[in-house]
Amino acid sequence: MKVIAHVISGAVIGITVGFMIALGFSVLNHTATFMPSTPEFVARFSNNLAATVASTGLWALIGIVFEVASYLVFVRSQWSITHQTIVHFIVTYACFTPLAIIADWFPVQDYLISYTIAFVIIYLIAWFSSMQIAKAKVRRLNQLLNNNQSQHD
Amino acid sequence: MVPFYRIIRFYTQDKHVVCETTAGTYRVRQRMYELRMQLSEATFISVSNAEVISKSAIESFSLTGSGSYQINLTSGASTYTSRRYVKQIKEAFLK
Repeated sequence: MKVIAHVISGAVIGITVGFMIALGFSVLNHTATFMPSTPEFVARFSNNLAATVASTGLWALIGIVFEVASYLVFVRSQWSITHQTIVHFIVTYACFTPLAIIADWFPVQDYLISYTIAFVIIYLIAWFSSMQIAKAKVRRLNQLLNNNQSQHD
Repeated sequence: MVPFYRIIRFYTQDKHVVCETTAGTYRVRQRMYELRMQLSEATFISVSNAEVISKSAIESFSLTGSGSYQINLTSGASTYTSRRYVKQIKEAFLK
């Protein structure tokens, strides 16, 4: 099953990216020890190791959400770009948001709206770029078609 | 028998393969994969799992407002292809 391979690679990518971000924040904030997430998150555990284990699990799940969503949407290449973008948005927004909240990445009440706006803007940019790439491909196809026809005339 | 040059496309419809020509539409006995093997790559191209088109029947390509690849046929009809097949179509025209 190809989807299993995407689950595994999603987990690997998620853990790698999550660790790098946590390491980066730990260095920037001059923390005494490695902080796997925000101090609020770490404080919910009896020790740093337990918090790191929980964070690693969340990073893996987040990676799986994006990797599997992308795989399931983009194999359906007969869907239009708009259809693919909307389905991808719904899946990642519905699955990633609770994980980000559990991971204590942002206080829900204060940031949910700005987080949602950022999410929508990212998808608008992705949709717009995909449309431009597709338009360029169509131009190229027409060019090839015209060259081909003029050869035969 | 229909002359080869009059064939516009082959496609599956309700589990049957049909052949659309300038003279009319006929049901053919072969399966899609058999047609793919028999038809010359220089003349015909696959645009989806369910459709093979004569190169000369293509008028132009366009992108729909929602971002689907549309193929406009010389007959005035149109059909769709996907990102996966666009690459193959490009290569078919480069040959």
